[in-house]
Amino acid sequence: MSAVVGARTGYRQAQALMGTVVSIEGPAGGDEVGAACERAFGWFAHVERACSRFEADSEVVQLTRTVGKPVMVSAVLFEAVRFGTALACQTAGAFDVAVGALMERRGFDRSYRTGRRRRFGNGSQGATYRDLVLDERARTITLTRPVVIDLGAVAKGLAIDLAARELAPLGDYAIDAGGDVYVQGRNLGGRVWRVGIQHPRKPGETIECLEVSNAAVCTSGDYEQRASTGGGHHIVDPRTGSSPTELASLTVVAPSAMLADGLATAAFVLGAARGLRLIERSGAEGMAITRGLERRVTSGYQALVAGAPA
Amino acid sequence: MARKRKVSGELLALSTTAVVAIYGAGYVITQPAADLLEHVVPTSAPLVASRGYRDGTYLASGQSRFGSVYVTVRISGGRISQVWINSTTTTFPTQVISGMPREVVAQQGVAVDLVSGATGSSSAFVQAVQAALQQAQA
Repeated sequence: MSAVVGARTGYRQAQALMGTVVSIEGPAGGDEVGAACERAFGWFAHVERACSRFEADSEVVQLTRTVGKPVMVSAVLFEAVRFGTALACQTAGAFDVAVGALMERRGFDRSYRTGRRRRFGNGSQGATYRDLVLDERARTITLTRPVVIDLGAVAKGLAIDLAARELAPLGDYAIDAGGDVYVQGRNLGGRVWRVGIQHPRKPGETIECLEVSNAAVCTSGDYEQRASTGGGHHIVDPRTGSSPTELASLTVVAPSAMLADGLATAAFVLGAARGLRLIERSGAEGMAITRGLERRVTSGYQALVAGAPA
Repeated sequence: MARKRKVSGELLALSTTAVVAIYGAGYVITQPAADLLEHVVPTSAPLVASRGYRDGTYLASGQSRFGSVYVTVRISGGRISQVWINSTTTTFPTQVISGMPREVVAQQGVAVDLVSGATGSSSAFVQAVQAALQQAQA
């Protein structure tokens, strides 16, 4: 077999984690690749056990059983809740980690693992992030009333960031956790990674392509996961209880996946004008696509689009 | 050009210090993730980036959380001449990705490395085509 000039081989490993397929790929490396990937995948399982609201024995569900008393929690859960409440605060509740009971009522109550319905939300209707009190020094969380904490827009991003730190010594790699992406270094061809953005109305097609490195790219869309009750999709405005209708999708490019993931959900709820302002203010870039397929971007976004002038 | 921004670094700072704090808390991931899971997708198909393929017909598959996609890629004269979706075990209908084989022929490959916002419907197809093209270069 003749080797093709310029061809570079690489690896791809994939595992079913956090209700999706997580894959890690990069150029061929040494013996350390397998072990680093294993540790990286381990973080997804670890974060899920801390943060899933679908599993009765997850740490976050355990936390919701204690109301009115401080509960010491793991660093993973504390950091996820801390980021989520900060984002809730900055958006005045357009994003909220206390949205779990609302999501359950809209039919997002099934464990992907067992298929069984899981509802923990009795008595927690109307709870908001203000009902969570965090103590950084003691690493405790106090619920001032029953709350179902939903870390769906935060936990996967945190897991990607933890995995990325394991893979950092490899230099060049990409993590894809069900469409939430983090890329570092160069792709197999030795070029900057090319990350396509899913077209919100044409399944299987990309609407444009970004050339990025050392960045996370997360997209929230109205086209995945329809609600089983009450219409709408998987993103809800906690203030109204219904799905926002202005945008078809919203993409965020940020230095960390937790930031990109959280901002994508929050800005989707806020809509193009306020959402893009939030993204800019947070030091990230973003693109909003309205249901009429109008495209609006932050001031530094266009420079990331493939083929844009340098 | 880009106007001057007033950046509030709180969220960015929290997202980066989170990773440091968690590592600082002394977590060590020792247990292979596979032990914690019901199903593991045992893929480790190597990838090849550059062009120039051996003539032949190549079958490969890709997986996403919605199921698997099986494709056949035909190479003639060193170029991708045809791409078929043989079968899918996906929970979404095959029409959802029916336009993608044409794109691969037109672009002579998969133009992107990854797709943001595609929570599975296209990623299985992209993986399958990449795996088939890898065989064509081996």
